[in-house]
Amino acid sequence: MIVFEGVSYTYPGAGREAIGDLTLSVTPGTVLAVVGANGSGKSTLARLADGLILPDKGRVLVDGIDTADEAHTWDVRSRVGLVLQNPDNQIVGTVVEEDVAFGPENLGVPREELVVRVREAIAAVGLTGLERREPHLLSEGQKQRLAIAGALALRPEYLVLDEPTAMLDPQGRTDVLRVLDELKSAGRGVVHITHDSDEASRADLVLALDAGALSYLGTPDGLVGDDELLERLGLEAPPILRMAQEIRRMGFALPGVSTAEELVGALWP
Amino acid sequence: MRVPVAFGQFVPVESPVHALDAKTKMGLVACFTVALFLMNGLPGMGVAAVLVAAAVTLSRVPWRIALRGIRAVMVILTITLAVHALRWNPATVSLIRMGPLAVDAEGLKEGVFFVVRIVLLVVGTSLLTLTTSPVALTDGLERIMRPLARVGFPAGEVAMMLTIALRFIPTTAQEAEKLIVAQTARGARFDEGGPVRRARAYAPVLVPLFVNLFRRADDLATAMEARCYRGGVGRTRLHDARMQPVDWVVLCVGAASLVFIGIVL
Amino acid sequence: MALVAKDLGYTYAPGTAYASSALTGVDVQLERGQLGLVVGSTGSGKSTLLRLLAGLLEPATGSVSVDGTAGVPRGAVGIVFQNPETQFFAETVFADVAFGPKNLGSSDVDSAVRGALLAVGLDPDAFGDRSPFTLSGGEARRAAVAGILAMRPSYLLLDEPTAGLDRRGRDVVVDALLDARESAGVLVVTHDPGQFLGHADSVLVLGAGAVVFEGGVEQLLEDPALPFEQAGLILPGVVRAQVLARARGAQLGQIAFDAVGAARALVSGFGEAS
Repeated sequence: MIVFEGVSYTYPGAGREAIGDLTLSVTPGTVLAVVGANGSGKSTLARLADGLILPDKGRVLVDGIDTADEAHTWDVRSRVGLVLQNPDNQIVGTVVEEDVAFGPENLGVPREELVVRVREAIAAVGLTGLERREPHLLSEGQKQRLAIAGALALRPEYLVLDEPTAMLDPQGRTDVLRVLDELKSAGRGVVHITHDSDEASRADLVLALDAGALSYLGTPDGLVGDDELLERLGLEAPPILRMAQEIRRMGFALPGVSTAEELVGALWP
Repeated sequence: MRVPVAFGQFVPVESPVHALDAKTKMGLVACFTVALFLMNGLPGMGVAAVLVAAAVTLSRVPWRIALRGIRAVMVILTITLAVHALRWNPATVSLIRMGPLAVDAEGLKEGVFFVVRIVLLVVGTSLLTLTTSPVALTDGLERIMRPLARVGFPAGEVAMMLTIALRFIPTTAQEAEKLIVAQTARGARFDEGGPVRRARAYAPVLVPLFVNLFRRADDLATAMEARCYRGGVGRTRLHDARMQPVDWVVLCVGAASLVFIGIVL
Repeated sequence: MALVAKDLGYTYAPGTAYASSALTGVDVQLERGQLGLVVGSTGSGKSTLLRLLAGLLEPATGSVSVDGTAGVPRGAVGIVFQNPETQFFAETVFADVAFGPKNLGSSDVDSAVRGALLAVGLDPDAFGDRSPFTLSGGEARRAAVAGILAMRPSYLLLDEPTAGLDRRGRDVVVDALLDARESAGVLVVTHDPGQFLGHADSVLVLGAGAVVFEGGVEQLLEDPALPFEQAGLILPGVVRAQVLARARGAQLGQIAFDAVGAARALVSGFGEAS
């Protein structure tokens, strides 16, 4: 588990806390969506989880290891993979397979194992066949999957993704979301930072940040009714969930649905 | 649709020259350069020219591309030839005379010698980048620099810098193109006025380009740290190109004969 | 008074091994005072279409005319590229927004800049002296749009104007564009049409460089599956639910673009069906 215990963080020179007294946990095999307006502390949370920044107050534990424990810095970073919003800014290698190898190369993984890890990570994101392709010749969606493969090559237990679909077209977005589903089924813990309500409604749990503080933690459904909170978070209610709720309010019995097909299927079986 | 950006003009075909290890080719280029400078007569240049021609043919790089480097040094070649061949009011007999200016046979021979030497140097060394992928090139450089790490030279870091530079050249080029179009759409003119005004006209392209580069660098540093980068020490490499027996043979035989030719001719 | 393109075609790198046709036989008609929507996925040719309409590329076939005159006069068509805030270069917001009108030799740069900032909901006195690099995401996007509005174009073209913004940022940008429609024709290119469908006067769906659909929104939604799928796009969930319900025989009337309206539409259709 990744556990935040009363974590606060203020950027050097900043007037207010980016994260204030935050407590949460991320369980393997689940997707936690983190939502909130621009500047609400979402990216700070990602960097805290990976030990790239350390809490001023409280502590962050990754599988029981304190991220502040310098003896285990690399252990923490290989347990928690981080993927950023702009895929172009995180690709280091000049061809696909070399970029994927970058992480384990840094850990000094022997060459025979590097080959295996790279092959597996590339397959996991569906880029097999593009091993020798140069990154700038990939589509944005492929680049983002490459970035995920780069994180996976470290064989992390958890993956933290900071708005990974914000710059992608629908196809790229669909492909990345499919990879996230597969990671979850493979038993990894996924923290998916997003400002897209449809994406948030796919998660097991939603955590909402408002000015660095936790303002909601629960199922996606529970977030739908609270229009005032949604407004403050800069979020739309996931439209399908909102529709379903409205239909229930008008006196129709409706099971839990999360897609248009399910909704219409429930009404016109 | 993006047209592939050619860098270092690497020509991705298969040939015996391409197959050689980058370090072998670097060694040979070094010996070739030394040999060229040891030679002091046109016969040596003739032999060197035959060797370069053979290498280009073997490499399957089209002649048009192999000779393209000459265009870049055309000015230098012209000046070199002029400096050596032209004489001012010579006392001796001259080939051509135009007022006080004259072309003198000895000087012409000398000029041709230097021109041929520069041409051979350019074509020979460019064959290295034409037949070696940028990745293989940086890897080779790193391997060659590795012994220097023992005296404190940051070989791994330098190689990483080169790799990242190579990685971001196409990205930056794409971005610059986008910025030029965008600022053109805002009425910017890049082709008016003198050099100063033109240079100033590029500020709306260069400023955002650099701002974005710094942002990129910030993200990249975060991404590299998150992927456990901690300097060059202790890193392994996916492709640690090793010298094959054929590399050693080519390198030793090549180097020995080049030096021999250089000294004898 | 319209921006009209007839039979537009464009090929990249013609005559080389990389030659690829980006666009063939595309017609566009954008009236002033209207909001047009061009929908297509990556590689559908929508960015090329924008550049052609703005006169930044010469079409290989066909022609573009503005208000009845062939060609695109300088400054007549403004274009806002994707993530335009990455093009800031000046020290103040005011100076950056003034770049366009100054280049066009505008006689009253000051009022053009102030008007443009007000149009996107940024107070010129509060924002004019700030560095553009310190603005928040939504503010930066709006300031960048103002940089084009200040050139007072008759037609405004925008490539993914709301991409990467949160809800608040999206809402203000959409409002600013609806306002801009008062004085100009506005054409929005996007692969995420949800937030614009309710406001659009016309829709053009592009797939692989050719027009897949052209017409009004209602007409598009009569059978949206076809053009949208052909173009590799996904319809917004709220609309999709109503279309699926129609396909099952429900009589829904007008398509609603918000969740509550859509829920009511579904329930009314359900009532009639049962």
